[in-house]
Order: sequence, then structure tokens, then C-alpha cells
Amino acid sequence: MSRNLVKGEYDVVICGAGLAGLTLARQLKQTMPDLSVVVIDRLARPLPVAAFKVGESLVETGSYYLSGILNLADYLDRCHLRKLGFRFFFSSASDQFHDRPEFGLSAFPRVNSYQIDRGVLENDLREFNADNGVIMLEGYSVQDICLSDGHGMHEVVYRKGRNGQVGSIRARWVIDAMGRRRFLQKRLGLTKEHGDKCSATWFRLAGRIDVGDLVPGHEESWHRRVPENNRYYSTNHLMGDGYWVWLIPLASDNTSVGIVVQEELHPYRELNTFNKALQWLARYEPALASYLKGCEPLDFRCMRDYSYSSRQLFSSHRWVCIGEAALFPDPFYALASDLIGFANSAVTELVKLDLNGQLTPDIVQKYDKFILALNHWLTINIQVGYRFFGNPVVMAAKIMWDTAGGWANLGPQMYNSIFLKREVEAQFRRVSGSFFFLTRAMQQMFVDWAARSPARCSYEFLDFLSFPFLREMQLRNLQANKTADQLVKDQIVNMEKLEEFAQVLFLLAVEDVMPEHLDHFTKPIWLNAWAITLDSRKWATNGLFEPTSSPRDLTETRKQLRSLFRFSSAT
Amino acid sequence: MNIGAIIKRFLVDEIMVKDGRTEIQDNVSLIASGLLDSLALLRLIEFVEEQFGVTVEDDELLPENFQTIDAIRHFVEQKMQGKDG
Repeated sequence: MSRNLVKGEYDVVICGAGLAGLTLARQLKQTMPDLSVVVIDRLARPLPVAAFKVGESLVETGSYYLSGILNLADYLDRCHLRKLGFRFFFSSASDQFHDRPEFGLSAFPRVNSYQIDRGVLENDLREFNADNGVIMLEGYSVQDICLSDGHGMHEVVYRKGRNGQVGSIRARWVIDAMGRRRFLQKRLGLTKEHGDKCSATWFRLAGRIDVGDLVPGHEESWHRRVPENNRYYSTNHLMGDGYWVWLIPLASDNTSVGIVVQEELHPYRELNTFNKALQWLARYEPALASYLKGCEPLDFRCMRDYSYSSRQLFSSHRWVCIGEAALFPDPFYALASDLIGFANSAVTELVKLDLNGQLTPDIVQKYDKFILALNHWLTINIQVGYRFFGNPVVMAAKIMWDTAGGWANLGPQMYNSIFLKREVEAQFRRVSGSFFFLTRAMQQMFVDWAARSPARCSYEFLDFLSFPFLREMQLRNLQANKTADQLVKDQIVNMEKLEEFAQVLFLLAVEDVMPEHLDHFTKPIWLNAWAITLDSRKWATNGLFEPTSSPRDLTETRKQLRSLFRFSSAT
Repeated sequence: MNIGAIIKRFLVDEIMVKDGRTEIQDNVSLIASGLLDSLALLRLIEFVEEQFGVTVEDDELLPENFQTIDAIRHFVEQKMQGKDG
């Protein structure tokens, strides 16, 4: 790899050394050690710790991309924090924090996920990449990308520092990983508006901002629910209609705090400075606001209308956009690293096919559509909930549904790279295909449920992994090295389980919203889950009572789900 | 060619053939057969929006509108009438 830097030609040049660019460089060298890879970034090490970037919370699938696919498990255990899952505190009529319904885990789950300090991770990834033979051009800013119009090399023009010498390199593949600058996307006119108008503002604070400190020590039963003050290690969400506030611990002993709002209910102009953000918190999250009084932030950033997508991410002419240079999913479920993982794995495969002379426009388009569709539907399914984010029961139902669906679909895709394996993928998609409309019917049900929720149903603390259905769903799917046979067999089980779960969630909603209709559901209950709606006038016309699948017993799952909630007779 | 035939041709040529699937019968539910998954549906919506000049809203993505080719035809026809009116 000792080619001349200025005049040399390389296999791949990655513009931008954020999480997407650095992990792609690692994956490329890991898969093809002889590949020549250059990474160019305007920043040089050392990068700032903590007050650097957001995207600090990883779910299990995104964690597996780093730990399993990129072989960073030991490193993550050593240098970052194990996450105690996500945790939500919903709205409550009481002004006491400990009265808020809490949805989260009491103990660390068997499947790992992490809270990442982005400055630490990106510093380390740069070093690992350099050690692996990636040429790291740090302190050089990309001035231009000249795409080849045919089979030739692309050219990237860079400058050292702000006013330094200009140089260029040529490469067979060019990757835009320069974040929200979206260099290629804008140059090629590919930007696509996407999602609702949602905005975010965030800051980092020195030390430990522990959600447990918002509740007096004498509230022992509250503190005992999650032993050893471990709530700190969750991604804590304070939820209200139209917004969520995050509290994320960082291994560098700092805490990340962010506010995400939907414009219709909470205009961005109300929180686009640190002082305004504190005033906003004083109004909507007073317990946190009092706790933060007098704190000086390490940084403060905001981002208006954050969601966007693109009409194209990958080209058979060997240019690619990844990370935020490509798209930005709604951050609520922290799936950005999943999308980075899927896209990077696809790009690695495309480069490999190209080296072997097997790259075709069809395969490029297939991976392109896979990532775009994933981003599109994830964002839509998340944002449909913003208006009722404060509703503890409907959101608990929605989060459990989304989690189960995510584990059943994204789980095997990430842990077993199904989308890259043509034969398994076709079978997997055939089995999973009906899930899309099942989840659409469920999302509409959540919207209707929230609009009509009489607040009869409630809970104080809901540990979602105490629900055997979800625990089994997690363990079945977040597992690597499955055979093709096993993947298809498990997916058949997943889809059956989701069909059952949809029905028991529907029965819970009916019991909450219109208990007088429960008589319609005579035992043994087995419904057409795709016809689920809370509009009882549509039950017959949609075919709710005409299931096409053979009945299975719902009793046990229904009992388990029902036991998580408490009903009062008062309305 | 009528709307139903155009949609069927798109599904067969662009989705089934490219995804390596076999012929689908008219009376088979597009949803139950797993043909209209999230990927295929995004392609279908892009096609319908471009071909017929309508906009498919997220809250219209319900099973009842996409159950069969006939249901999609009916849905598109209604959208087109709404657009004209």
C-alpha cells in the first residue's frame, strides 16, 4: 500500500471519516485485505470526546453490526457502556416523576447493546483502520468529486487544511460519507423530502445526569424496581405528546441530553437556543429542568426538519452515498447505525462483485431499493406515533409491536445478512411478505386507539422482557450463524407469532376503548389479523371474522399481555 | 390498456420477474401470498404515482386497498376521480 499519495490510483476512496465512512473502511479491509482504501476527512485526531456527535445509543441489531460483523465486541465491552435497553417515562396526571408510567427493563438482557461515546469510537476506529492498512488522510477537506462518466476512475480533489495545498486522487469507487453536506446527493439532484417536520436540539453535560436522581430516595419501591441505580445505563426517554427527551450516558462520564419535537405540536423556534431549550423543559419536563438548573453545557446543537431521503444511494457507475450523506431516519428507535450497517454490508458486497467482474445494474438497484425502503417505512411507522407519544398504554402496545416486528425482520437481516444471500432472501421475503400490511393495520389501530383512549387501562412499571412472547422473539431472532433452513423455519414461526400478537393487542384495545364489543369475540377467538381495525362498522366488510389461517390458541399470550396492564372501571 | 392490466403487467414484469418469483394467479391475495412486501410496495407506489398522476397517502396503505389487483385498480380509480373533482 505504498503507492504515491498524490498521483496514485486506489480501489476505493471514502470521503468523510464519520461513523459510516470509518466502519465501511474497516469492513472493506476485513473482507478484502488487499483492497487499497483511502479515507479523507477535514478533521485530524484527536477528535473531541463526548461533545462531538449524536447517535450514541445503539439497539441490538446496530450493536451487532459493530460487535459481530466488524469484530469490535471486546473493544465495545472495554471502552463503551453496556446499555440497559430503552426506557420510557410517559405522561401522568400527577406532577411527581415517580408516578409516571415506566416502560423498560429491570435487568441487563442476554443480548448486548451499547451506549457509544462517538468521539472515543471515531478516534479509535481511525487508529484501527490505519493499523489495518487504510490510508487515513486527516486534516484534508474534500473540494470536489469528479465522477467518471463511464468505466474510468473517479477523481477526488482535496485541500490540506483551510488554505493549504490542493491535490487529487483517483479511485475506482468513490464513497460520499461526508454527512449532511450531502455532496453527491445535491450535485446529482437526488434529494427527496421525507417524513414529518420534526426537529431536534441537544447538548452534552459533564458528569452523570441520572434519571434516578429525579425521584427522592425514600420512594423505595420505585428505586427497587430497577436495582443498583441501573436506570442510568438505559437510553431514557421522557415522553409527551409531540415530543421525546433523551438522556444517554457516555463512557467518558458525560451525559447526552436531547429534545426531539414534531413541529405541529412543538415549534422548533421554541427550543433552538440552550436557554430556550431550558425554558421549554421547565414547561414540559419540570423535574428534569430543575435538576439541570445551573448546568453549563459542553456543547449545544440543533437540527431543523431532520428527516430526508434520496432517490438513489448506489450506482453501478461505482459511486455510493452512505450515512447521513444518504438519508436520515427518524431517530426515535436509534436505528441509524442499523441503516449504516446494512448499507455498508451492501457496498462491501458491490465492491467485491466489481473486483470479480460480476457487478450488474440489477444487483446495485436491488440493494439501493432495500436501504431506501427500509428508511422510508421505518420513519413512517415511527412518526405516526408522535402525536400520542405521551400515551402510556397505546405507546407501550406500539413499542412492543414495533420491537417484535423489528426483531423478526431486521434481526435475521442483520445477524445473518439475509439480504445479501439470494436464495435465502427470496424464501425469507415470501414468508415475511404479509407482515407489511399487518403492521400497517396495527399502526392505524394505534392511531385510533390513542384518539379514543379513555385512560381506563394503566400500569406503573412494565418490563417488556418479562413478557415471554417478546423474550422468545428476541432470542429466536438475534442470533447469528443460522442455516438457510433454520432461517426460513424461524421466519414462519415469527409470522405466526406476530399474527397472534396482533390479535391479542387488538383485544386489549377493544377492552380499553369499547368493552361493550368484547361479546363479539366468542371463544375460541381467532380473527383475520389483517382486517383489524377499531372501526367496528368495518369488521364484517373487512372480513375480521373470516380468517384464512387455521386457528391457534391465543389464551396464553393474551393472559400474559393482559397481566402487564391494570384496568379501572372508572372512565 | 386498462388500469388493472397496467398494474398487473408492472407487478409481473418489475416485481415478480426481478425477484425471481413465479406467475401469480388472479384470485390469489397479493398480501397473503407475500408478494406485496415493503420493498415491492414502495416500487408499486412509485409506479402508480408516476403512471396515474395520483398521490398515495400513508394512511391509505391499508390491506383493503391492496388485497388484490382488482382492489388496487378500484383504489387508483377512486384517487383519479378525486383528483379530477
